[in-house]
Amino acid sequence: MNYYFISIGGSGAKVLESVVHFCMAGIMPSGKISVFAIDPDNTNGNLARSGKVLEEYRQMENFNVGLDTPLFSTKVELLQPFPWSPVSINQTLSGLIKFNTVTAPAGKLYTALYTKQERDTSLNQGFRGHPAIGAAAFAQQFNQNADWRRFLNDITQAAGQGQSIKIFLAGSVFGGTGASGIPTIARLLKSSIAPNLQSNLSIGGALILPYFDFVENNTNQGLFARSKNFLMNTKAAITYYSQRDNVFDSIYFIGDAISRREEFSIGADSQKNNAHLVDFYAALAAADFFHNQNHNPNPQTVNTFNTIYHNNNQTFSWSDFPTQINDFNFSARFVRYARFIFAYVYWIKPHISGLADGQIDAKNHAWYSKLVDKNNRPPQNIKADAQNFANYTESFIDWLNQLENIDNRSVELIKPSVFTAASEYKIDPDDFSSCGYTDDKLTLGAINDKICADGRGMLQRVRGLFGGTKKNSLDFGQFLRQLYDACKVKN
Amino acid sequence: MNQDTRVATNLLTIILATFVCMALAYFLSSNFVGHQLATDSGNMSYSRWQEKFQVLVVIVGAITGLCSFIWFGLAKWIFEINSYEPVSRRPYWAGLLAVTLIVNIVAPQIYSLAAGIKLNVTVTGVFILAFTVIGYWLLSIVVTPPAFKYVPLGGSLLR
Repeated sequence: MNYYFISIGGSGAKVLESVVHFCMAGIMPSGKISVFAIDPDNTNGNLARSGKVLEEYRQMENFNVGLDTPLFSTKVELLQPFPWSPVSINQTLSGLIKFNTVTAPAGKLYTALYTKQERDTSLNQGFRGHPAIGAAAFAQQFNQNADWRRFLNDITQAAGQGQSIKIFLAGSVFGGTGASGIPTIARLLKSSIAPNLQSNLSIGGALILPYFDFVENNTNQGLFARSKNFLMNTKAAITYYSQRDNVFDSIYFIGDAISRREEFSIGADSQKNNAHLVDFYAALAAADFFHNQNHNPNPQTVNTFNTIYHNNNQTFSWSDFPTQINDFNFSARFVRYARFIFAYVYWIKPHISGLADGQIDAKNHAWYSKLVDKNNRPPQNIKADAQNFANYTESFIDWLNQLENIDNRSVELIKPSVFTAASEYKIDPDDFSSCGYTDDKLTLGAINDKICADGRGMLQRVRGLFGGTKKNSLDFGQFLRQLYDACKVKN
Repeated sequence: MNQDTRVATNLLTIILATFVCMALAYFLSSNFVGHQLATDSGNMSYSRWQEKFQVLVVIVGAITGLCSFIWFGLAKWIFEINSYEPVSRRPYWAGLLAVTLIVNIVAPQIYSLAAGIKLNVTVTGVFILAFTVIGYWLLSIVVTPPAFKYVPLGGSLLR
C-alpha cells in the first residue's frame, strides 16, 4: 500500500502538523506516508511549524525502536520540493499565464473574469482568499512542472505495478489555495491514472469549513482574504462537491462554530495560527481513510452522507472522538504516547546531559546505565540524540497546549497541569498518573521502575553476584522503546 | 512476573536469606570457636552455650533482617520519582548498613554480660560477615527495586 498525504495551503499545513504527531504516536498505519505540501506562500507560518516538526522527525530516523511497536511506526517521506509552489517569486497572475502573449478574444475574457488587482498582485503570499486566481494558477502550472510530473510518474508507475495507492488531501474550502487546489489536484491525480488502473487509486480529502474570522485591516488597500466571504465561498464549494464531484472516494467536511478571532494576516510568516481541534479531527479523518479498506466502490453512483456533530461545543473529551481506529483504542494509544513524552520530559530530559557529562551521579539513575556502551560510545552521541528528541517533545507540548486552549472551551484530552509545568520539571504525581482523564493510571515511579529493570529474575541476579553475564547496552531508539513500553498501563 | 509477584518474591528472598545468614553465623561460630568459648564461660556445657548463643543469633539476625526490610520498603514505597530532584538515596542505605554493623559489634558485648557467656572477636567477625556483608549488603544489591539498584555500594558492578 502506498500512502500519500498532500497538504494544500495554510489550513492543510496545520493538518499536516497533527498528521506528523499521529505518525509518531502510531495512530497512522505502519509503513510509510509520503508527504507533499503545496503552498504558493512558502514562508507561511503554519507551514513553517509543520516543516519544523517534520524536520524533527527526520532527525530521529536513525532511532532503532524495532518494528513490533506502534511507536514511530509510520515513517514520513518528505517529497521535494517542500513546499511546492505553483508560482515563482514575485509572479502575478498575468505573468503566470503570459498575458502579453494571449490572443485578443482570450485576453478580453481574462480581463473580464479577473479584476486588475487580481491580475497584477504578486502571489508571493498565496492567492489571498481568491480561489479564482488559484484555480487558474494550478491548472496552468501543474502539467508543466517537473516536480509535479515526477510525483505523477511515481503514482502511475506504482498503479501500473498493481500496487494500491491512497492519497489524502487536506485544505480549507473557504480561503484561496485550498479551495482552488483541492478539486483541481484531485481531478489531475485521477486523470493521470489510466482508466483500467483506477481501481488501484483511492482519493480522500479533509475539507476544512470556516471556524475562525478576523478583523480586516482598514489601512490595507491591497488584495487579501476577507472573512465575510468565507461562508459564501464555503457554500459554493459544498455545492460543487455535492453536484459535480466524482473524484473523491471519501470526503470529510470538518468545521466548527466561528468562535475564534485570529490576527489579520495577508500571508507569509505572520500567518501563524494555533493548532485547533479541527486540525486534530482532520488528521483523524486521514487516519480513518488510510486504515479503512472499504471505500465507496462506485462513487459515481452511490453517495453516502454520514454526519457526526457535537452538540455541546463548549466541552470536548475522549467521548467526542472515535473509540476504535482499526484494531486499537484511540484514546488509550494517544494517552500512552503523551505519557511517554511526559515521562521523558520530567524524568529523562532533565538529567541525561548531566549524566553524559558526568556531572550527575549515575547511581540515582539506573536507567542511564542502559545507554552506556561497553564499546565506549561517545557521550556526545547520547546527548545529540537526546537533544533531537527533546526538540520534538517541545513541539508536541506546544501543539497539545494549543489544542486545549481554544476560545476558553474545556478540552479534556491531557490534563493541562501536566504540560504547563513541563518547563519547570515539576509535576503533581496524581496529575501525571491520571494525565489522560481515563481510568488508566501509572505513576512516574512505576515507569522508572520498569525502565530500570534489567529483565533478570532473582536467580539470575544472584548468579550476577558471582560474575554472571551482563546485558548489552541499548542505543537511544531502543531506550525510547523501553520507555514507551513502560508507559503501557496493563502489562 | 507482575508487580505484586515481584514484591512478594523480594520479601520472601529477604526472609529466606536472613534465615540462611542466621544458620551460617550459628554454625560457623559454634564449629570454630564454640567449644573453646563454652569452656571459657565457666566450663559451661557446649549445648548450654549453644542454647544461649542461638538467642543472640536470632536477635542480631532479626535486627539485620529488619534493616533489609526497611531498605526495601524505602526504595519500593517511600522514595518517589515525581520531579527533578537530585537527591541521593545512598545515605539511607549506608545508615542502615551502619546500624547492622553497630548491632553486630555491640550486641554480642551486651549479650555476653547479660547471658553470662563468653564471646570473642571471631564471633564478631563472623556476625559482620554473615549479617552485615551477606545479610544486608549483598542482599540489598539483589533485592533493591530496579529504580534504585545502583544505590547499594557495588550495585553497578553486579547488576
